[in-house]
Amino acid sequence: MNNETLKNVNLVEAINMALNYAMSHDESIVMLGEDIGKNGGVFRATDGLQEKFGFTRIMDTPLAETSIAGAAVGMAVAGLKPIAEIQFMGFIYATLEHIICHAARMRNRTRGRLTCPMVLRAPYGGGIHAPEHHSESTEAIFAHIPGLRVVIPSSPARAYGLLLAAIENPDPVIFLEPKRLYRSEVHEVNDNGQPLPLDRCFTLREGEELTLISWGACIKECLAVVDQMNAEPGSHDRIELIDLASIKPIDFATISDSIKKTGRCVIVHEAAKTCGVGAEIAAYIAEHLMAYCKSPVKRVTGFDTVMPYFRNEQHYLISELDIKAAINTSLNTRF
Amino acid sequence: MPHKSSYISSSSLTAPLQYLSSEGEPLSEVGGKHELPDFVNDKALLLQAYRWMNLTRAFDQKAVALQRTGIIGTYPSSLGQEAISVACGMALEKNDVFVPYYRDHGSQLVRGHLIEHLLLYWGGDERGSAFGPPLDMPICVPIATQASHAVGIASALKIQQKRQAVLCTLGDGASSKGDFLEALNLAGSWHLPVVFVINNNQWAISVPRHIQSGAPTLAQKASAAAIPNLQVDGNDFIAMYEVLTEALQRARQRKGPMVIEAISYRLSDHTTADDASRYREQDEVDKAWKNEPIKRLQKFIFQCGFWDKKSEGCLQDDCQTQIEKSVIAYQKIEAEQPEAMFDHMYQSWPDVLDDQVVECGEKYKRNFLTPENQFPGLK
Amino acid sequence: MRYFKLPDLGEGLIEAEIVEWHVKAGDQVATDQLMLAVETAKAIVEIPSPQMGIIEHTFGEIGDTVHIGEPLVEYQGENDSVSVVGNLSAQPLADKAPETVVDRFSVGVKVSSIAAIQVSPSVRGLAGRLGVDVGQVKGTGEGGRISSDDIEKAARMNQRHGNSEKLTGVRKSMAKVMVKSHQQVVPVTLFADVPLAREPNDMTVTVAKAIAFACAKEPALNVWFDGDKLSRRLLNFVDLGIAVDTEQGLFVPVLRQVQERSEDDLKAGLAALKDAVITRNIPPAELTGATIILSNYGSLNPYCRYGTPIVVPPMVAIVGIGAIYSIKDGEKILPISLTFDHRCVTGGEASRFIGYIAEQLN
Repeated sequence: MNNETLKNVNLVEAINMALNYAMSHDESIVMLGEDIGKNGGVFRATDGLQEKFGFTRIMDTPLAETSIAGAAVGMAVAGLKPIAEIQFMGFIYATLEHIICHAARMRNRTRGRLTCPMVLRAPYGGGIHAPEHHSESTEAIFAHIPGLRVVIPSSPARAYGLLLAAIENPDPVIFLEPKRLYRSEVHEVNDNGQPLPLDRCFTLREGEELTLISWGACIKECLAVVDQMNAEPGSHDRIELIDLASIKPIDFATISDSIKKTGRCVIVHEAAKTCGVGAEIAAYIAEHLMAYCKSPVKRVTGFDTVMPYFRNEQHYLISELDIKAAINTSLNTRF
Repeated sequence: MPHKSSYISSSSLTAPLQYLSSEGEPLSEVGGKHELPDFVNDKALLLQAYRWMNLTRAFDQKAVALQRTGIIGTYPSSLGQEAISVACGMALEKNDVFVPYYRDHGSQLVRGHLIEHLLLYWGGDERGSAFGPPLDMPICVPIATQASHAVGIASALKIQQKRQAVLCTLGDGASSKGDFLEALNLAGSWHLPVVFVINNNQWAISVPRHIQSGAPTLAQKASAAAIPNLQVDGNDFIAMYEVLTEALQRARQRKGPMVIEAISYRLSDHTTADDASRYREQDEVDKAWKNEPIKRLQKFIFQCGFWDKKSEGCLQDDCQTQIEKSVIAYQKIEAEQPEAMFDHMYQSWPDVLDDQVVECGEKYKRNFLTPENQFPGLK
Repeated sequence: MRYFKLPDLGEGLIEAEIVEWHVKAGDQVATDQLMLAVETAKAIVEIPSPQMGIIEHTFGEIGDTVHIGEPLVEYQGENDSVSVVGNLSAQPLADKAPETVVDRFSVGVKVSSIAAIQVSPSVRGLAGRLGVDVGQVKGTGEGGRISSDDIEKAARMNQRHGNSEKLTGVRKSMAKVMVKSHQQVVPVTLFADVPLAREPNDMTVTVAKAIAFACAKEPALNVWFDGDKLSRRLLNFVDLGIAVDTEQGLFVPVLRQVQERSEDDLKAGLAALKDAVITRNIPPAELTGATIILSNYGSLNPYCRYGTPIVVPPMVAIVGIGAIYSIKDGEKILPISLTFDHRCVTGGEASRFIGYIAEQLN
């Protein structure tokens, strides 16, 4: 490994690194969004990029999410690879018509004549004491739409590799960045332009008794719980932690292998419970893996409410204790 | 070049640019404002336009008939708006990009789409959008969303330093939508090579123009984005062609965007699923027929000595023959296999979802290949 | 706040001239502490600090005109959270904590080598109620799926014959090793009745030395053989595995470098190994790496003479010795059963090998 390319970065810096790498190696990649140019993005994800790549390739747009997405569709169809930034997931709904009616369908409705290789990035999730509408986790909306890919990284290295892969991918990708993790940890990431596979899960910890599946910012709490439980004296590694990463399509092959091994499953997601992505995983397990289950699947999720404003958000966000309780219930429950 | 006074300013409203009267007579001869543009001497050009307009109308009539006989699905007729679409098609250069809405059959024919491909689309087959100039956008149903795409494409052309323009069409209804206004704003802010043509045919299904907007003209919505704009008599081929060629040339020369409001009238129902008699009077329609574009151009080319009755007869026959052949060709195209729905969702279908493809095959067997065929009449 | 700007001084005044600074960059100021004096059209006004803090920077020199809303003072503070809304964790961009976290992850998941047990939840429930361990039940359903019939049959079996005991420890490893050997090795056993010159004190040790001698003379039986790649490694030392029988089962500790050790040394070594096995103190390293095995089953039972001991790959030979017996003229005979892996060893080599052992014992 070339030590010169190893860098210590947090998640948002890793995003910046990936954008920089991609744009340095492919002239057709452009970016558009609000405040991404001189300001470098409200989270500094695009810091320094306009200076390096110029105004033509890093475009500050007027305040108009619908046309950010629509213009990105047009650019992608015309041979560019646009990366559109929506400032917060709370504002992404104005893009839905273009994402659902056009981006997701362009290849299909022209039988491959036209394609839409665009990336739509947005900071997502809660836990930063933000004003209302700035803490959304509605990845399930996009996960439901045929023709899209949805990716959520949970560490600097995975953010780097997955974003590179998303940019390279010939189909539209929704790339949601858990803002609570933007600066939470610094990891060593190799700035070597290596993408990670899309549509694969990542195993963060191996274990034999229970499969814990999560994504996004919740991975942080899950890791803490798993490391604690696996390190308990006299116990072997009990909990297998899987970072779903690819929310659409879901790597059920990996989940399947893991459940066959452990027989127990707990799914953790910040998003609301009903019709959240956890429901899809639970349904799959019920359809295909029922005979391997030693206890029922458990979901630890947000409530079916609007996330409380930040004063009370800790009553909604998922804690380590919540995850631990669910794991213990699952381990101690039998059919 | 259209006279400067044609451009809308906030202080004066002029009549839409027009060269031919509704009788097809050059207004300049009857004391009108403007000299006819030079290209009116180009017989080949005028006859080409006339042929396309007639083919468009003949196709349109046939399409309505096909819908009424269950051969294709819901279809939006372009009756009475042929000058707009043919002028658009002819003003576009090969490498320009066309971003239509759903009433641009004439433009599509001029751009090289085969009739059977248009029928494929309206007959409910995705392959209908797989043909035509490689970068042209497909027919767009979500209203005005094509305006944002047009802006994106124009940005790309500009970034790629190409000398090509984008032509985006939309209806009067679409001009109310956020996408249109956002697209104008972006086009103006980024100085993009895009020309918007509003086909103001006075009706957005049942909503008449005066309810659609309080603005005296739709073109002036572009003024908010500092985009030059004007109104044109959309049923006057000469006016439309002149304005469009100038606008597109200007865009190619990187002089920026433009908005053209083409005044026309929707002589037909909104689509075959609509019954306009529920909301508008027949007198109004009858009156509008007096302004219709084909008759106007016909009168003019007769006058110029470019056309005669015999040619007219031949043309009508040719159109019918061409259309009949195309309909037969269309009907020979078999529907795709059921699994085709998986082929183009992604570059390659994720193997983790392969079981769905298998299920599709089983579903087909269950529903279509068993003796108790549940869908008689459908193949 | 980070910047303090010239506030609205009232009375329609929009600007003021800086007359005097009372603070400078680096100063710590308290709330309400006077920072500067400005002159408006009407009066000289003293401007206090709205907050406690350390001055990072002052704006404007004496004589400069400042307009309402223009910055006067910048405070030091935590770096802003570098986000327009919300409050990100404090870590600023410029200056990172040096310790980084290690991010371990792999793509996909490690599949278990053990075939997974398939049993539906309701059947699991039944098993629980009947006290049946599903891990012990063989499923007769598709793909080995366990049905309720299987559970009920297992329950009846347990009732009549007692629960089945799951093999653990050395019993479990023995089962696995023997299966593997059976699948790979092509065994031939040669039986020999070897006359002994005299009955030795310690049969095992004496035979061990004899084996070492034979290995030097006929090295083909002291190799490690790779059955997949069809290659063998001739070894110039003899690490002799000694089969030891205990309550838990069969252990095979290894006597190292037999070829160069004296009998006394070997005796002591062997005793130490056996002791370690019995007291369950034997380190795993002492149970691996044998080049050939000796099994003295004769020591357990005076009637046992011949056997067909099992060769354990990657070794190619195992020497079994039975109980010494006497023949008519009083001569003592040691029955030897040598199993060799015919993939790698010929009958001639094996035969000569026994001959060298016999030579040493005779």
